[in-house]
Parts: sequence; structure tokens; C-alpha cells
Amino acid sequence: METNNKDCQHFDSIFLDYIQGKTSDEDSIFVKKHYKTCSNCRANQNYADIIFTWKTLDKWSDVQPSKDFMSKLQHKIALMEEKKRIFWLRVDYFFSIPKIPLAIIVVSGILFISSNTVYAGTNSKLDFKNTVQSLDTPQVKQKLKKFSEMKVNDFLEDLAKNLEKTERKNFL
Amino acid sequence: MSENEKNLTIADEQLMELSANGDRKAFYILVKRWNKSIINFFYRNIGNQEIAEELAQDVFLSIWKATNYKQKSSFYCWIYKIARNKLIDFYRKHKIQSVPIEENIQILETEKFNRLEDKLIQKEEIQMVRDTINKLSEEQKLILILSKYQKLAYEDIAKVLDCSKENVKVKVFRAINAFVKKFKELYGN
Repeated sequence: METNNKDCQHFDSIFLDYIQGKTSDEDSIFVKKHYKTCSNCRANQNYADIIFTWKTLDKWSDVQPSKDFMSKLQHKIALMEEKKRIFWLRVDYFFSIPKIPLAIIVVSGILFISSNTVYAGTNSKLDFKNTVQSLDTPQVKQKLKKFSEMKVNDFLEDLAKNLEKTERKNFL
Repeated sequence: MSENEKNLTIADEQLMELSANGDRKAFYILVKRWNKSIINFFYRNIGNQEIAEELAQDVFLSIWKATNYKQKSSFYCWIYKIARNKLIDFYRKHKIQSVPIEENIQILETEKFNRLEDKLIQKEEIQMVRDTINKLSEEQKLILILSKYQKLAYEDIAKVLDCSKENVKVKVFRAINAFVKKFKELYGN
């Protein structure tokens, strides 16, 4: 802002505060008086803009809170407190369970799960062993030997014969 | 002294301390004292009364939840700081979506504006102010509202915005210039 003398400088430093109602009574009187008498300051566009803005903003008055504002707030608080109450009830319930039975339940649970895993492991090993043993018979060995000695053509011929047999059976 | 008169004399900070200790009555006195200011703070920033009231309720919920309140600065600085944070959250959430600005403008029912013609003129003027403010940046809007409508001192605005008093003064001046510029752009000289 352009200033000419000491008064104008002082005016410039407090004008914005004055517009916002932030100056002392003494300064307020000074601003009013100076603006009336100083043609330079009156001609300054910056001051005019500030006055214009403040006057224009004044036109936008406050809205009134709606009638149900308080009841909505009370409802929100009640809801929040209910959630809090339920949370603490759960915490209380958890801590109200006797500790020794709880520890027994937890430990036995862990033991049950781990023993089940070990049992499942040994069981699958046993199943595999039994299967291998059941295949260890002379009949199976003979069939396997015959199959390994077979040539591809023989195998295909055998397969065709078997298919023909099944088809004939189905037809009859 | 009646109970209502007694309540009027209790400072906000004292009421807040009581509220922090679970005093519901103290809390509701604070709500009654501050609801209009906080609603208008949000309303002027956002332009929608319904959303403004919801945000104001969130501010009061935060106050009710604040059980560890310690009086470091004035209560109004503290409440505006909470309101400002809620506003920032709101802007962050609605960055893509635009908030519907209310068509319906409330007019102060005074004798001055009892004629229909005057009411229409006033409505138009409010619309002009609102549209211009809406064109400002979020920070400029906030500064103007805190200074003009909430009537906060520079020191208090500085506390709310976490900056220096001198910085606030400069920002207020810039916001005013921006307002004039936008107003001229929209409506001419």
C-alpha cells in the first residue's frame, strides 16, 4: 500500500485490524478520522477493496440450527455409549471366566489339535504300507511280469480284443 | 441467582473440564452455547446445512469423548481446531464428489427485510457472496470465515491454523484481495 506520511503509515498498519473490529477505541477513532480527511488514503484501491469485502460479507447472515439438532446429537451419543457398553461387557465377560478352567480348556485344545496331526501322519504312513503289502502276492507279480514283457503291438491287439468282447456282450 | 444465570457465568473451560469428567449437563450447556457458531462455520465452508449439522455433531461427539482434556489454550481455539480437522477430513473424503450446495437460502427474519422485494434482493446478494466465497481456495475460505464470521483474533486463528500471527495477517489480506478479484470476475465492477 502506498503511504505518504507518518499518519498514513499508521493508518495502513491498523486498517485491516480496524475493519475486523480488532483495534482499540483510540485507534478506531483515528482510523475513522484519517479516512475522512486523507484524500490519498481514500483514493487507495486496497482500502476500498477491504471495505467492500467486509460490507459484502455482512450480507450473509447466520443460519439457525434445525429443531432436531439436539435430539440427533443425543441419539448419536446414546448409540456411541451403547457400543462402548457392549464392548466393556464383552471384556468383563472374558475376564470373569475362571482362569484355571480356561487354562485347562486352552491346553487341552492345543494337545487335541497336535495329537490329531501326529495321528493323521502315522495313519497315512500305515495305509501306504498296507497297500504295498496287499500288492505283494504271486498273482499280481505274474500279471506285472506278463505286462512288462508285452510289446506295444501285442498290448494294442490285446486291448482291441478286450474291447470287441465287451461290445459283443453289450450287443447280446 | 437462578440456575440458568449461574450456568451463564461458568467459563467454557470450566464446563469442558466438568464434561471431561462425565458431567452431561455441563456438556449440553457447551453444546447450546456453541452449536450455532460451529454449524455456521461448516455451513459457510461447505454450503449445505444438513452436512454442516452432521459435521457439527461429530465435533460435539469428539468433545464428549475427550476425557483427557487439559486446559492449554482457550476452549474456542480448541473447538475450532477440532472443527478445522473435521473439515479437512471432509474435503479429503469428498475430493472427487461435489457437495450439493443448497438452493434454499435462509433469510434473517427482521423488520428490515419484511417486504418481498427486499427479501428477493437480499437473497440475491447472499447468493452472490456465497458463489464468490465458493470460488476461493479452501484456505482462503477458512481464513475469511474465521476472521469475519467467527470473529477470531489473529492469535487465535494462528493457533487454529498452526502458523504465526504475522502469517495470518498476510493471509487475511490475500483472502480479501482474492474475494474482490473473484467478485469482479463473476459480477463485474
